[in-house]
This record gives sequence, C-alpha cells and structure tokens, in this order.
Amino acid sequence: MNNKEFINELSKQTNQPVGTTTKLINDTLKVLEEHFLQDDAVCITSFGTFEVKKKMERVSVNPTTGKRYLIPPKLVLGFRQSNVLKEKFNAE
Amino acid sequence: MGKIFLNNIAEELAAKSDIANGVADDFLRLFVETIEKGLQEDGIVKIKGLGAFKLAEMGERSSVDVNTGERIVIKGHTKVTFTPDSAMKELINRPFAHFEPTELNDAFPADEASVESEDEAEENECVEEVEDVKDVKDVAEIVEGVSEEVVATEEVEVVEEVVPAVESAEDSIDEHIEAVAQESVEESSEQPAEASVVEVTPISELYADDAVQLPQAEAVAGDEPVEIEEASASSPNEVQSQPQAQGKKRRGCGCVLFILLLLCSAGALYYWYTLKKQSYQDMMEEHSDIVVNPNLQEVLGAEWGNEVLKVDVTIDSVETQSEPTITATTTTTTTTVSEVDDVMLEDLDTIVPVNMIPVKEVNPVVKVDASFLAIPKSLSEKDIRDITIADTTDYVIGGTLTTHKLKNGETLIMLARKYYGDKRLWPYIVKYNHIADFNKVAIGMTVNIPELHLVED
Repeated sequence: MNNKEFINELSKQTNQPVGTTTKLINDTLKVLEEHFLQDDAVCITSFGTFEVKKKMERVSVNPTTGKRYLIPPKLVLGFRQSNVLKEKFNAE
Repeated sequence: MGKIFLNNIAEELAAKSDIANGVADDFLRLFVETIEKGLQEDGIVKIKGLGAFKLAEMGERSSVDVNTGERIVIKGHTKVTFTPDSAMKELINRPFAHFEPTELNDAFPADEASVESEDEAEENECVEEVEDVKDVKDVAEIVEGVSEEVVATEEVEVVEEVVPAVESAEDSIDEHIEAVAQESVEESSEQPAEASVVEVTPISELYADDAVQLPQAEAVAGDEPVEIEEASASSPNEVQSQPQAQGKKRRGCGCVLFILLLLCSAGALYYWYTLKKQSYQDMMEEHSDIVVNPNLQEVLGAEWGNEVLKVDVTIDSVETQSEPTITATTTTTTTTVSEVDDVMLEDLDTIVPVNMIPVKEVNPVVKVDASFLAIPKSLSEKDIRDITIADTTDYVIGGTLTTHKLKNGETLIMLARKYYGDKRLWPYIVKYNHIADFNKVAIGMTVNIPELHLVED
C-alpha cells in the first residue's frame, strides 16, 4: 500500500474528500514532527511508540580499503510495536 | 522530553486544523487502523513525509531468561518495523546535520591515547625509558669516544663486558678502574636518588596540575638514569589523579626535560672521565720508573672482573645504611665511592679463602681500587708496588712443595690457585720451572710447585 492508496483508503474510512484527508494527514505529521523535535516519545495505544534515539559516534572501517572513518552521532526516529499489535499479526 | 499519547496529538491537531476534538480523535484512530489494515493486506504501508511500515519475519532465536538465567528459545514471529523516509530522517537529525564522517589517520592514537588504560601508559613509559637508556649509551660513545665498558650503565653489562676486556692488556687497568668506579658511582648515586625521590612525591602531589614541577624535582635528584627511572616510576600515580589531556601535555613536557637531563648527565660523565684519566696519567708519569708486567695486568684484569661481581654483593649492605640527607652531587658521589670501597674491603677480607698465604697479601687489588679513586695524587710507592704484587718482591722460593703433571685444559693460573689459593702467584711457578714461554705449556709436562715464604718487611 503506497501513499496514494493509503490516502484513498483513509478518506473512504472517514467519509471525507481526499483533499481534506490529505490536509489532515499533513497536519498530523507536522504535529508529530514537533514532538519528535522536542525529544518526546509519541505513544499510540495498541499500535506502538515512536521515539527519537541518539546513536553515538563510532569508528567504522571500510573493509576493502581498510580506511577508518569516524561516523558522527545522529538522531534516529525509531518505532517499537506494542504487544497488542504484535499479537494481532501473530494470531494465525 | 515526555510521553505523548494519541489524545494529546488529537487535541493539537484539532487546534491546528480548526476541527472538533472528537473529529480529530476519530481521524487519528482511523489513521492507525488504516495502517494496520494496509499491513495486513500488503505487508507494507508507505506514508509520504513519515516513512514506511513493514511486516518483517523474525526467525527463531535463542536467548537467556533475564530472571532465571535459563536458556530459552524465542519463537519466530512477525514484527512491524518502521523506516523513516528521507525527509523525516533529515528533519529529525537536523541538530546533528553539520557532522560528517571523517577519515581517520593511521597514526590516529589521539583518541585512543586518552582512553588507554593506566597499565598501557606505564608500559609505554617503560619502553621510552629503555630507549632513552640506549640513547645515553650512544651519546656517551660519540662524545667520549671511549670503549663500551666504560659507558655501560647496567650492572650486567659491566660484568659481561669487563671479562672479555681482559684481552686488551695495555689499557685494561685503566678501563677496569673506570668501569668499577662507574659501577660504584652509579650504585652509590642510587642512594641519594632514593632519598630525593621521597622528597619529590609530596611536592608533585601538591602541585599535581603543574606539569613543570615534577621534572624540576627530577633535576634536583641528580644525573644518573637509574634514579630517573625511579622518579618516573612514581609519576603514574600522579598522572592518575589528573585529567587525561593534561597528562598528555605533561608527558610531552617531561620527555623534553628528560632528554635535557640525559644530555647533562652525558656531559657530566665525560667531564668526570677525562678528569679521572688525567689524574691517572699524571700519577703514572710520576711513577714511570715502575715497570708493570703486562701479564700481571692480565691477571689483574681478570681479578677486576671478579671484583665487579663482589661489588654487586657488597652494595646491598651499603644501601641499607645509606644516609637520607645526601643530595647527589659529584662531591658526595666521590665520598660514597670511598664508602663503598671500604665496605668492599671488609667484605673481601671475609670472602677470599685464607689457607696457604697470609691474609695480609690477599687484597692488594682492592687497595689499588680505593687509592686510585679516593687519593689518586698521594699514592705512595708502596701502593704502586702492591699493584705489581706477585713477583719476587713479597715471596721467596724455598724448595719444592710438590709436583704436578699438567692435564688437558689446565693452566698455570689454575695451579697457582690450587696450591696457593691465589692465582696471581703463577709467575713463581714459571720462574721456578724456567718455563721459556708461559703461554705454551705442554700437556703431560711435570711442573714443580715451589714452596713460597713471605718476606717480612
């Protein structure tokens, strides 16, 4: 299911025109982004948790050239599924 | 940083999009449900601006129960994974966006040096010291142009090299005196070193963050590499208490000062050596009428080799009674040398076996040592005669004691040691048997061992 299919499906579910749904989705994402930038963990019950995690810097070696690189630290958005979601997909 | 729930998001969304709270709430719930539905249908849901949700099959794997420590098997299962798309990724990582991967040099250790353990640091220091000791030798060799025995800084080396040096007959006495003297100087200078190191430690602890303080204290301690080792051996403790960056800087500073110290000590050694040599030459000129038998020098040389070993033994007792007030200069060094010699004399008296010859004649060599080092100018002719020992000056031959048939591997020196307890008396055997070339004696030759009587002065 790609983005278009997702929007169509969602608009069908909400009985809203596609344009409105798209706008609402974008607004939702903006709200989420604001929280991510504040290092908030967004917990969606029975679905999972979005969390920004800091990956520490590390030294990486290119196996072919043998050169060593210092990979800088970075912030990564991670998702952890809730147990409810897990059971939903492992029921059968 | 806190935990935000879906209703919080709904409230904000309502405010943002001008819709009722309930509508926003419903929308978000449907949003999540649609993702789940999509996952169930296709196994993958892509949302532009957020990322992709995917179903991933996790294989079976073994693990350990956190509470009981038992090995358990986690069954294979399906897991929902999320990969943020590039737009979201960049947005999240914006605070660190200016960082870029940098290639590291092979020489690297900048980071590792600060992380490395205390043991490693200590080891490195030891290696540096060993190298520097070698440097001392090199520098000294170049500057002084002296044979290796003289510059040897370690006991073992001195012992090893002194013995072969017996072969060089002409300079052997001079060199061995120097070698032994240096030996004893080093040993004796260890005393002040130890004493001053005790003083050093509290100072450097007080000024733990002052990098210059310790090397200065080392400078006070004196000029010999031995004590530098000791002083720097105490330094890791101080390094421990410091920030690692400062430790690095401090080590660099210490290295420079250490090298300076080495140069100073090399200079001092050179000066001291030339002084000694000069005084010895003067003395030899004064007593030039005395002819020293080169063979006797050989014997003496061999004796010196033994002497060094004995010095090692006696040093321990000297160190135990060392005075903590000594502060290591050349003058104190000479005094301690004579102390060492005194003790050495006493010890030798007990060490040398007293059987066939009077005790009085046992230690002329040691007398030479003491007089050469302590009062080189005021040597009497009696002392000089002691150097030449064995020849007819002190003993007269009085008939045949016994005879001996030479076997393979035996030497006249061995005979002298066997029958007189003193290998220096071999010339009497040569004289009594009228041996033409004492370097060539035949196997099976019957040697008459003369009976020796001491000449009373």
